[in-house]
Amino acid sequence: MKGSVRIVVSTKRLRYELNLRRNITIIQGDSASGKITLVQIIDDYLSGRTGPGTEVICNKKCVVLSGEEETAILRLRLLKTAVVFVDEQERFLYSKAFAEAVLDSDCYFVFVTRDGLNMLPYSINEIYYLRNSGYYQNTRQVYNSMH
Amino acid sequence: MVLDVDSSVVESAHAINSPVLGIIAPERLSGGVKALIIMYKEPDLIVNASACGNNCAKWILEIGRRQDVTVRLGYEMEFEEPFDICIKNSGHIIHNYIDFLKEFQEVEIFEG
Repeated sequence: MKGSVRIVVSTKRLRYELNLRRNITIIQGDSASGKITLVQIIDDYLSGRTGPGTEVICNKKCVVLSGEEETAILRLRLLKTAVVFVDEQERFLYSKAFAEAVLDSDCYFVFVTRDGLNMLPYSINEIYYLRNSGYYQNTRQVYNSMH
Repeated sequence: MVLDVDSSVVESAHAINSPVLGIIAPERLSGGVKALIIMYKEPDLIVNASACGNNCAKWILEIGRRQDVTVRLGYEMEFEEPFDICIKNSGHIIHNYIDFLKEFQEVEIFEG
């Protein structure tokens, strides 16, 4: 990974803008703030299940990993500099094998989870809180910069 | 709960009116509300409360006032005082948020 990546996800009703600055970004937020909806929209878009009006704009390939751990890790190992989204419902997110695959990867990762991922090194500056403000779904940093 | 957390209105058993998503199936309720419903309706199950955001904390306490529930929690949820929570890991009963954070840290340090 090199440099920051901007992602814009929009439907007729919602618009998300994310700016990934490091390889691991964590998204948190209140219930019903649209975290899982974000991942669902991207997944539906990539699978061709969305109609006109839905867009995912990013200069990197976007991927949503889900399902069994073994399959997810195999898929991850085939990816190069992609942006990988994983939702907290995926149990492999907390596994050692998946953490090792993440550390070996040159992809960008967006993890939607409130639990700590103890096996992964990520910056406290890259924990974002998703805030619902009508049409726009904005992120703000949970922790302020220490310097 | 559905109205407070998801800002959505339950129109029927099969239709929820969401201000953001329109009419949706109950499956598309937020993970937090679904976890709260399971806590309330199936108190014998241990629900993963990490699916619930801070805006669900008051509802977890409310359900706990009506019936004993055991939940698994992996982050420092912002519970509003006063409350009576038994931390199963230590057996301690706590009543304020500072004690909750202390218990949480102990579990994080010693149990990972």
